[in-house]
Amino acid sequence: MAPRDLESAFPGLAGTAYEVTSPATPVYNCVAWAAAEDSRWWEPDPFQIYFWPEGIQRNAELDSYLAAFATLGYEVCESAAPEPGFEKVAIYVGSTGQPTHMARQLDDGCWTSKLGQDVDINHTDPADLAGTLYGNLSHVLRRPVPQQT
Amino acid sequence: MPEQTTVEHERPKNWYVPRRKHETPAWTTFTRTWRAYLTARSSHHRTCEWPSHKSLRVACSPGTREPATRFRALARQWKNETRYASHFNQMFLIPSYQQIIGLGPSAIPLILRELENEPGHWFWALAALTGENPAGQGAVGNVEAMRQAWLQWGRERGYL
Repeated sequence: MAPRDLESAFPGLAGTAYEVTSPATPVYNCVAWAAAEDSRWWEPDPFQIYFWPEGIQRNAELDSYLAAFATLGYEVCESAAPEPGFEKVAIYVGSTGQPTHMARQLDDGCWTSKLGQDVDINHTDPADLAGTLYGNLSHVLRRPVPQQT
Repeated sequence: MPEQTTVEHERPKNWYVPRRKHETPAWTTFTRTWRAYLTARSSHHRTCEWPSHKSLRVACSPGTREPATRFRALARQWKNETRYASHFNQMFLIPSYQQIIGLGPSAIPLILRELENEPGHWFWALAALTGENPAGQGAVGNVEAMRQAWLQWGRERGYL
């Protein structure tokens, strides 16, 4: 995709060191990608077409997302700044308070986002994607980095 | 004074009023209805701008009445509107997608052919139109598996 298209949709990316890291695909979405999955579309849809953690309420509200990521060991934290020993995800909400996007922090402190059915990008700050489409950063969640065995 | 009575005229079963030239065409009224709906949700749409109000004209304009033509126009519009959307309320609960569902059973073969051409999120529409989910629990969230299950479903029923 031409950078101009992305920057037109997400003006906050202009002038930052973002990079496209995958081809466009409808196979997984930002929520799956935040959960480090790239083979399923995560969605709390009422038809139960898409994946959502077992036992978590299926609706478009923020609480449903917080509960879904709690099943992965995430809890709300204060800051999006990197913390040694923790990995973080960010939830964006629109003006209705419903989630619009999620991003995941990488080891180097940058963030990775799957943009809908389009590409993955790495971006330096969660605020880079705030704006008309995704609203604002609402919550940052963290969990201890799983121990390698 | 004599008591006034109101006589109710019963309408014949096939009663209708032919549209006169000065009256508003139905498609315009439909567009206005959607605009009113969008205005009611204005706080969200002003900020997030998922569906374009202008885009409704494409789907409802005269000349795009034929189901296949309307479907193609609506599908193109939906793809453009939801390129960066990840959530069902932004992807499916918007006018272009809802109008595709509104095409009724005639949309089923059109959607299946679209799905045959390329993967896409037509599962919600197919579930709404058919009341079925041939993919089953094993394929939940797996876009390619759901796609193949729906294509198989379509072949078995003669849609493809």
